[in-house]
Amino acid sequence: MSIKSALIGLSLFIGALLCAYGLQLHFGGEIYSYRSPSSSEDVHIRNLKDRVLQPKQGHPLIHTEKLKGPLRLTILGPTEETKDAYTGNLKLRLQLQSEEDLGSVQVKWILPAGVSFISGDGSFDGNGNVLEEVSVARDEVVERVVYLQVADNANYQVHVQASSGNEYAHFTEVGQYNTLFEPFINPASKSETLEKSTIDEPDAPQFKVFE
Amino acid sequence: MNRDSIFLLLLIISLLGVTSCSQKTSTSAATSTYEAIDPGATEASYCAASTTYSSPVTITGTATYQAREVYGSPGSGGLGNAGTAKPIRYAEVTVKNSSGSIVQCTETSVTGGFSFALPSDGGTYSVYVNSRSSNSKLIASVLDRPALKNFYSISKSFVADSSKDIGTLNASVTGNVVGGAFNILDQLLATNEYLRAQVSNCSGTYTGCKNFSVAPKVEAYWMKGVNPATYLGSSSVLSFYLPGYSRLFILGGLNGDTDTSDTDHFDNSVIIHEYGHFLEDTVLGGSHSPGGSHNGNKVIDPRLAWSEGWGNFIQAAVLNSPLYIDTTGNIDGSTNYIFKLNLETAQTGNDIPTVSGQGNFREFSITRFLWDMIDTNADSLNGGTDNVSAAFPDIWASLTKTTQGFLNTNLAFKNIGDFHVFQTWLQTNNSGKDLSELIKIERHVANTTEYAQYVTTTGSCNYSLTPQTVTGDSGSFSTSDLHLNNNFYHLKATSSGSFTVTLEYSDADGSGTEADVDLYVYNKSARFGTTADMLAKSTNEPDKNASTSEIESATLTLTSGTDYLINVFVYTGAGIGGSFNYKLKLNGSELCPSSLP
Repeated sequence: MSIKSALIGLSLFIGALLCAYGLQLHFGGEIYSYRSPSSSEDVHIRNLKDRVLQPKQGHPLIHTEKLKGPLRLTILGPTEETKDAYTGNLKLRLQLQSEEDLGSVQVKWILPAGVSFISGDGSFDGNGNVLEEVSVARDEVVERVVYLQVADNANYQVHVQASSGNEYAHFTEVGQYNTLFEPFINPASKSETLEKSTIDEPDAPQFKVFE
Repeated sequence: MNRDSIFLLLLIISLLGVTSCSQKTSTSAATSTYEAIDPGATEASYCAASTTYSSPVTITGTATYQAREVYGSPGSGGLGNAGTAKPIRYAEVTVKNSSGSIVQCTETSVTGGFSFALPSDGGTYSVYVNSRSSNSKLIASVLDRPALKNFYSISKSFVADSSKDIGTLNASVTGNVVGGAFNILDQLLATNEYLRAQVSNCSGTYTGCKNFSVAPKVEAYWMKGVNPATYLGSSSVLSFYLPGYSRLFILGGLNGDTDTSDTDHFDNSVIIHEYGHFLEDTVLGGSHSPGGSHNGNKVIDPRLAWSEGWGNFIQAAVLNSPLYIDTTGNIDGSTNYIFKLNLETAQTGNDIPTVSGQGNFREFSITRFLWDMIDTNADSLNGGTDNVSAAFPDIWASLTKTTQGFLNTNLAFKNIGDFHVFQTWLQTNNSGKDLSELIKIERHVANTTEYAQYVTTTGSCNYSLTPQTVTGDSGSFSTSDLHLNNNFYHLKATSSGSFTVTLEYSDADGSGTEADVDLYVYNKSARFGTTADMLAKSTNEPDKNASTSEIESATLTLTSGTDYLINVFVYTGAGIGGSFNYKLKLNGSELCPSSLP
C-alpha cells in the first residue's frame, strides 16, 4: 500500500469515526453535536425526531407582517397554460385551513359581472355572491368547489372571503383568482405604466395614471 | 487525470463525506435582489425655500383629502363611502411656471391652507400639493415604490394676474385613489401629534425620559392596486415594515383591484401599527422582533409579541379607540372586516392568557395591558382591576431611558418582561404608576424569568421545568409551546474563543418517563427553529433511566460583547416526560441569573 493510499484510507476512516461517534464538527462557523445511536431503535427515533422537528429556513429579510387571522385559503383553478384555452365552465376549488377549530366560517364567493354561478357548494344570492357556512377543524383541509361560466376571454377577478369570530374578535381571510392572467402580479411590470412625479415632469397629468 | 489528481479528488470526496454527515442545512440567500431594500432612484429634493418677488400677487388656496370610513359590523359592514374632506396638513407645496420650472415653495397649514407670492405677470402657473412633509411636525414621504420614489400630487392651474383664492384641491377616494396616499401621510402626522401632546416634556416628570419633538424621516411606499409583499418576493398579501431601512409598505390592493381586494390605505389601524414598528426601530432603540406571521390568538415569541403588541397599542392610543380595525375591499365592490378586535374586553378567541406568565407571550395581552395603562375604564379580570390611567408618559419613560429603559444597549431580546422590570424601577425610584393590578389581569410575570433572562458565570443555581401537553403540539418547532415547554437565557460573551455550553438535567423525582430535553444556542436574531440562526445544538436522546442525569453539550465560537440566546427545549414528539431540574454551564462554570448591566 502506498503512502497516498494510506492517507486516503485514513481520512475516510477518520470521517467515518466522526460520523459514527458524533464528535463535534465545525463547518462554516456552525457546530453541531450528535451522539451516536446505540441501537436500530435509536436510529429510528433519531430520524423520526429530525423529521418531526422540521427546522425552518426563515426569510433572509426580517420584516414585520400585518395581523392575519388563523384561517388560510387557497383558490385553485386551471393552470396558466389552460386558462387561455378556456372556453367552457370554470371549476374553482377553495381550500380552507385553520390554526384553530372554527365551528362556523362564512364563505362568500364574489363573482364579477361576466361570471355566473352554474353549480357547486353554496347557494347564489342573486347579487353576484355564492354563500355557504362551513366548519374548519384545526389543521384539516376543507375543500369546496364551484362551477362558473365566464362570458368571454377577458380577465375576470373572482374573490373569496372567509370569515369567523365573535363580537369581540372577528377576522376574515380573502383570496383572488384571475380567470386569464395576472398582469400586475410582478410590480416590475408596472414600471412602464407609472407616470413620473409631476415635479419631475411638468407636462404630466395632475395625477399618477394606471393604464 | 494523473495519480496526484485522483489522490486529491479522493481526499476531497472523503472530506465531503464528513461534511455531509454534519447535517448542516444552513443556506445564505442573496437579499440584494429584493426591491424592498433596493436603494432605487433618488427622491426629488424637498421644496423648502420660498422665493421673494417684488410687487407680487398673493395666491391662496386649500388642500384636502378624503378617506373612506368604516361602517356597520363584521359581516354587514366594512369600508364605506368617503368621509368629510379633511385638511392636508403640513405638506409640501410647489409652484411651477408654464415651462415646468419651480418658482415657489411652501407648505400647507394645519387647516390645509396655503399662501404664496408670485410675480404679477399674468402667467399661467400650477400649484402642486405633494405627499411629503419635512418640518417640525412630520418628516415623511409617501412614495410609489423603492425603485422609482415618486411622490403623489394634486394640482391646479391658475393665472397670476391678481391676488386670488384658487379654491380647494381635493384628493379623492376613487379614480387614482390618491386620497389613500394623503391619508397615509396624515396618519403618520397624527402619530407625531399624539406623541408631542403626551411626551414632549416627559423628562420633567421622569428623569432620563426622552422628550419627543418629531420622528426621523420615514418612507412609506404605496401604490394603488399593488401588493408590496411582492417586493420581498412573497405572494402573501400584506403591509409590513422593514427594520433597519425606515421603510413602511402599505397594501394598495391586489392585481390592480382596490374595491374587492384587501387594501390598507384607509385602514388607519394598520398604517399606524406599521409606523409604530418604525418608531420602535428608530426612536426606541431598535426592534428585536424576529418578525413573521402572527394571528392575534396564539403563544408567540415574546419579542414578536412585544413588538406587535406595541404596534397594536400605539394605533389605539393615537386613534383614541380600543379597537383594532382592518377592512377588505370597499362599498363600491365587496367589503368586510378583515379584523375587528376589542382591546378592552378580553373574551374567548381574543388572545387570553390561561396560565401565569403566558401573557408575556401573547401580543393582544400586551396590547390590552398597555391600553389599560392609559384608558379610564376600570375593567376587572383574573382578580385584578384596572386602576391605572393616563400613564403614557410612564410607558415612554421605560421605552426611552438609556438606563432602566429600552435604550439600554445591553438589551438584546426586548420583551414585555424587560418593560416590567423598568416599570418596577420607575415605580420604586421615580414615582411611576403601580401596575400590579394590570399584571394580574393579563397574567404577566413582571420580570424576565419567562424569557431571555440574563445569565452570567456567577454563583450556583438550579432551574426546573415541568413539560406540559399542549393541544396541537406535534413535536415540531412550529408547534412547540414557547412558554410551557421551553426556557430561554440571554448570554453576552465577555471574551472571544471556543466555549462549551452544557445542559445537565435530571428527572425531578427520579422515576417515571424522563423528558427529552435538547440544547440550542442561537445568534441574536434567534428565530426559533430556524437553522440560519442556530449556532450550535445538542439533541441527544435520554437514556430512558429517570434515575440518572442527562447531559447536552455544544461547543461554539463566541465573540466578546456579542449576545446569544440559549434555548432549553423540550422535545415532545415522542412524549412529554416528567418535571426535571437542570443546570446550565459555560466551560464548566454555572450560568445563573444576573442583573442586566
